[in-house]
Amino acid sequence: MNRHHTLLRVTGLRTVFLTASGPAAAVDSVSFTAQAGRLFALVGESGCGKSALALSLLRLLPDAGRVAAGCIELNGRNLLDLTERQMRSVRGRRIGMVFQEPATALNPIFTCGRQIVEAIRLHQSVGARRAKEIAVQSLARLGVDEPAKRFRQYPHELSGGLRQRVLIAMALAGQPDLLIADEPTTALDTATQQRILDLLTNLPSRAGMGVVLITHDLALVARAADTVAVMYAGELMEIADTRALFAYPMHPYTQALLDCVRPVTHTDARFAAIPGCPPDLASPPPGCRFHPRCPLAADNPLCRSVHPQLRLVAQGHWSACLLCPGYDHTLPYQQTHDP
Amino acid sequence: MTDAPCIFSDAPPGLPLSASPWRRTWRKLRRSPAAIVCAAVIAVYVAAAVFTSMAIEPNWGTSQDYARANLPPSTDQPFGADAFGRSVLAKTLLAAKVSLTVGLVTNVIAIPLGLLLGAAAGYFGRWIDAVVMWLVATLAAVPGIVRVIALKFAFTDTVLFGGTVFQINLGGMAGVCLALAMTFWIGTCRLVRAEALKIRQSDYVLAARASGRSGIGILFTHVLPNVMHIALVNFSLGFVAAVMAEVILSYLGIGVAVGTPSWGSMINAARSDLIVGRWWELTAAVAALSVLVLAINVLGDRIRDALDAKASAP
Repeated sequence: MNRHHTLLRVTGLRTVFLTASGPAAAVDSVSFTAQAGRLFALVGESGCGKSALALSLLRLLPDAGRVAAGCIELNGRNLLDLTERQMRSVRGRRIGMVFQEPATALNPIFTCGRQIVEAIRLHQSVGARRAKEIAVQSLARLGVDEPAKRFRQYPHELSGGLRQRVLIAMALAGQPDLLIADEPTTALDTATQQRILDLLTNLPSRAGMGVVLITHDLALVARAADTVAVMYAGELMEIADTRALFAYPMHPYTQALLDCVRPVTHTDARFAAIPGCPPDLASPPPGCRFHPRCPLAADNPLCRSVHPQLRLVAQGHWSACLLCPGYDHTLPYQQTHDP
Repeated sequence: MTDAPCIFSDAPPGLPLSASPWRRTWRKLRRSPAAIVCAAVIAVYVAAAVFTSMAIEPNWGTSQDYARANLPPSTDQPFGADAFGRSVLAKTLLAAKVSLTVGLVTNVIAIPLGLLLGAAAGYFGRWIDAVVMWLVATLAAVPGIVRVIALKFAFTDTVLFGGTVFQINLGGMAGVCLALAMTFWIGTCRLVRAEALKIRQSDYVLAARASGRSGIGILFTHVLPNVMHIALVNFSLGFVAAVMAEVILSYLGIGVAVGTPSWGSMINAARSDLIVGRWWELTAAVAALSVLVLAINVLGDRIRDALDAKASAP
């Protein structure tokens, strides 16, 4: 098997939530692939459907949400066809997940060590003593000082960075092929963010694991990710290799996002902002979902009527903008990532 | 690559880090004089119940001697004697055994039942919740004392079923305990269900599901341990309620078997005595009951305070 074989292939995924104002598609016609040994970053504003996408992949949506269409293939097996029991053996063992809030994702009444040991014993048939050894080792591998001491402490006694490492240790306990990290650094301070990110970027190269990193922080992604997907209002707007995306952003939304993080000049060091606000997902605008806020759409009536889909616009570069050079609406979405 | 050690912790000063929540509660409890006094009082009751019935003389409180009938308190009979010449002191002490047994057995049945049903209803929801809550609503619709009396009668009944006569005879203490337990689990169940509904939404439950743990697994590893404090507090409340309910039932004559010393039947027996100035049997029973109830209530209150992490922040 290729070192960078395709691990996860999502095709046309649509996740609908029942809301007071009708069904809202938090995730709509999302297609992408994630490879083993690579870090795939999913970037977008708050509320654009990133977490709904992550929960859809694990089939852990809350009661109001359900996957309405599409296909989630992990190693060629469609997760949406599995029974709940089969799905349980996928969670933790094939797909591990790290959550946003390390403060609440740990049970406050048990020691961190006990929680890691439980995760280990859930997936590996080892005794309590051996599980403890593995847990302490994994904490040490994640750069935790005095792992044996941390093992005995309660979550409230640890800093955010240590808690997040405990959660990563738990997510890695089942030795999953794919790790989904949903905003793993959002609740942490900048210095700690960097360390946690380093840990996550090491996983693909060291363990050959596929990592899907969900974040709203473009700067964070710039150095860490192999591939970046930009999400807006439930849809993917652009997918590209990290370098290509930052050097040649094709989609106006990506361009606007990048303008937000880098001041145009030093003399005029104000941050740009995207005018308007994200659409209501229960009644998205017709045509391109970004057109009410897009600087280019004003002169192009097509943007208000034609709904663009992700299309290959350059090698390894997909964009969902009608005005993108090379965009051809008649072509199908091509999934092959490697040329 | 190190994080600074956590110097801010909600552990009270003097407590070492990394004490389990239970151990912390225990330590805080040990520092409370009221809790220690109450625990000592309860220990005296337990000792009285165990030793008077085992070590001293089994028939001490029930042996009748008409020569001593209605004797007022004296050096020979510190609490006096009742209409049958039985020692009131002996009856009072032996009745502690009945009260403590009823309090304990009732809650040993009721609390785990309420915990399990409440946690399952709250965590799993759907039809389990519907069935459990239907049961709770049905039982709770009948006023408490009527419910207990009805159940008590149901446990001592002759039933005709399919042409066969079934003699259900759980008279006396077993019937009292069962009837009370069938009533008392409701309160625990409702509290635990509400808490489980909250826990179900928590991130650590979502994380546990994401790690592939089954629903039953989460119920036992995450939900139940997080509602145990409710069980502990409800145990002390339920204990008092069961002790008092037994007294009421025995007073009404549908409690423990006739001849078994009980504070309730002592109070009942003293009804007619009081007008003629025989106050000692009533006083002994009421005093014994009040002190026990007070001790358990205060101890339960201290346990609740000690469990409450927010209230005890340094």
